[in-house]
Amino acid sequence: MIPIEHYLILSAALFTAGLMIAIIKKNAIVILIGIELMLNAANINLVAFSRLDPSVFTGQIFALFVIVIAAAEAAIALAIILNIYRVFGVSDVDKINQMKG
Amino acid sequence: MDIPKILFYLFASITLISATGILFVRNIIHAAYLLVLAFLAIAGIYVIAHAEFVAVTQIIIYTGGILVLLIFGIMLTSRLAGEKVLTGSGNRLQGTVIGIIFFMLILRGIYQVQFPVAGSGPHKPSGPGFSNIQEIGIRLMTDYVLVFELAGFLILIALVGASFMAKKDFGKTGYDTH
Repeated sequence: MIPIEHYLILSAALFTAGLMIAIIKKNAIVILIGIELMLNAANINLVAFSRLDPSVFTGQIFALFVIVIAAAEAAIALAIILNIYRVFGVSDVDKINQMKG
Repeated sequence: MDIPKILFYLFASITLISATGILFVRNIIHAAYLLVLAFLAIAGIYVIAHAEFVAVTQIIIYTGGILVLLIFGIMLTSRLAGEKVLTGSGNRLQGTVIGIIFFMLILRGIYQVQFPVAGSGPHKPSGPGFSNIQEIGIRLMTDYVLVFELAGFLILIALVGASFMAKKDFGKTGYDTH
């Protein structure tokens, strides 16, 4: 049996990788990839804790809903990125500085 | 060392290598392919954690749906006339420092808490005769049916909204931009 700490450490490392991708990369789609990695890291935690749960499936069902909402989020995010590309001609988030942010 | 243990560490290292690979590659298409690898390895980890249905859902929705959507997004937001689709990097120092601090923080939290040993729960249904998927299906249609319907409604709204925003003359007809 794999100890739960190993799942948690894997999930922490994956979340950190996703966070660093979201901070460091400039392309909006790669930032979206980082966010998907973070969602997956959270899902690994949910599935791992579901093994310790008396009613075994609560964490797994929660993970399923996280996947559903991640799919919705990816569709909306890509539509927004597509519109940004149409307006500004770039998908590089550092170049979208019309509002001097 | 039994086989699930070896497989767990194999899948974990594939996941981490491809996730850090995304951090270092410059080509966005390569990043998307590395993401496929990471998602498939995570599905393997779900199987080892006795979450077969989540693993199958992961493969169908993530590698089958979201990844195709992402690659379509890459194709639609870059001029693919023979040149590579590259991404720049900024904030390297800040990102690395925040990442290391964050990881240390979580690691400290993990080792401060005493978790019960896995498998010591009241009942551990596994083995050849037990069907995980049947149980999840019954739960989804009884205890969690309201959440299930709400998730379906959310998906519907997201699909309508995404296709509305992605159409060609968005912003020209819907409202006055000037």
